[in-house]
Amino acid sequence: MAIAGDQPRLPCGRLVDDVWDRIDAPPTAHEQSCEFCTEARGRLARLAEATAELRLNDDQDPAMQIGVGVKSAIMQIARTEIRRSRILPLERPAHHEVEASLAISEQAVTAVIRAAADTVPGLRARRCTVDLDTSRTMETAPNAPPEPAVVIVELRVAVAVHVSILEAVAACRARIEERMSRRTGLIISAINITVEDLYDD
Amino acid sequence: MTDSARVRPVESPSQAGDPPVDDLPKEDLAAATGRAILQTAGVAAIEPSLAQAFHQMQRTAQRLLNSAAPAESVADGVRLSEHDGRVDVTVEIAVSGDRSALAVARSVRDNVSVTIADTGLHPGRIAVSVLRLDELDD
Repeated sequence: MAIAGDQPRLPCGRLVDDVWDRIDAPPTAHEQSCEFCTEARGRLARLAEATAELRLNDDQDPAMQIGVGVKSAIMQIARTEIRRSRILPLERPAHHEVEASLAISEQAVTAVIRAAADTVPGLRARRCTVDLDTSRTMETAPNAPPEPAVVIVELRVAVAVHVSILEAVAACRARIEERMSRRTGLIISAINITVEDLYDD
Repeated sequence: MTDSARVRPVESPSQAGDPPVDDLPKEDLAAATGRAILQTAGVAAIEPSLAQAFHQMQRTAQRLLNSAAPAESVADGVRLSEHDGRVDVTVEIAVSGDRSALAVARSVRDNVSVTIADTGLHPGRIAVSVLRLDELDD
C-alpha cells in the first residue's frame, strides 16, 4: 500500500497548500480560531513577502520569469517551513535537558499516524495531534543511553456506517502502534481515538 | 578566508604536548560533515534552511544564465558553531527506508561525532531533527 501524497497537513486537518493558497486573503473563521492555522499563516506570510520581492525583481528582468521549477521549489520551501513549526524529542529528555538533541517534526509523525489509520477499511483519519508524555521522564542512571521518547496520540476519525466502530477503532490502534514503532521509534503511552462522524459511501 | 570562517582545533589533555593542528576551514569541515550525514543509512536528504533554500534557487537561476555559477554543496543545511572549545552541529534531515527515524538520527549523531573527532576537533552538541519521513510501500 502506498501512503498517499506528499501534501503535509496541519494537525487540524487542513493542507498547508490550502493555507498558502489563501495567504493573501483575510483569515477564515476557522483560521481565526485555529492555533495551527494561525501559526502556519504567520510563517507563510513571511515566505509570501520574500517571494513577492523575488517576483518584483524578476518582473523587471524578462530573462528571470518564474518558471514551473521555481514555483515548485517555493512550495517545497513552504512545506519544509511548516514541518519546522512543531518539533518533538525522539529520546526521552533528561531532567536537566532544555532542548532535545534528536528530534522529529510533529507533522512527520502525524503523517505516519494518518497513513496507518487510513489503511483500516471503513475508517478515515481526520485531525491528529501528538504530545510528549511528560509523566515519563528518564529515571535511569546519568550515563545510561537515553530511551525513546513517549508520546500520547489524539486522533479524530470518521467511520463508515456499515463498519463495526469497536472493531475499526481496535484495528486502527494496532496499526498506529506498529507503524509508529517501525517508522519513528517513538513509544506510545496512549492512543485516544474519537469517532466524530459517520459516512456512507 | 577570514578567521571567523575557521574552526580552531582544540587540544585534548592527551594532545597537550603535541604540535598544534592547523586551523581547518569551516567550509571543509561542513562539507565533510555533510558527506558523513548523507552516507548514513536511511538519510534521504539534508533539508536546507529558508535562507539556504533561497540561496539554492538563486544559484539555479545563475546557472541558467551563467554556466560558471557555483554548484550546490553537500554542506548546504549543515550549521556549525564553536562553543566552549567544542564544535556544535545542527542539521535537519529527511529519512527514507526501513530504519526508524530514531535509529537514523542516532547514526547521524554518531557519524558526525566521529567525523569531527577525526579532524582533531572536539564534538559538542550534535542536534539532528527529522523533518520528513518519505513514503514507503507497506
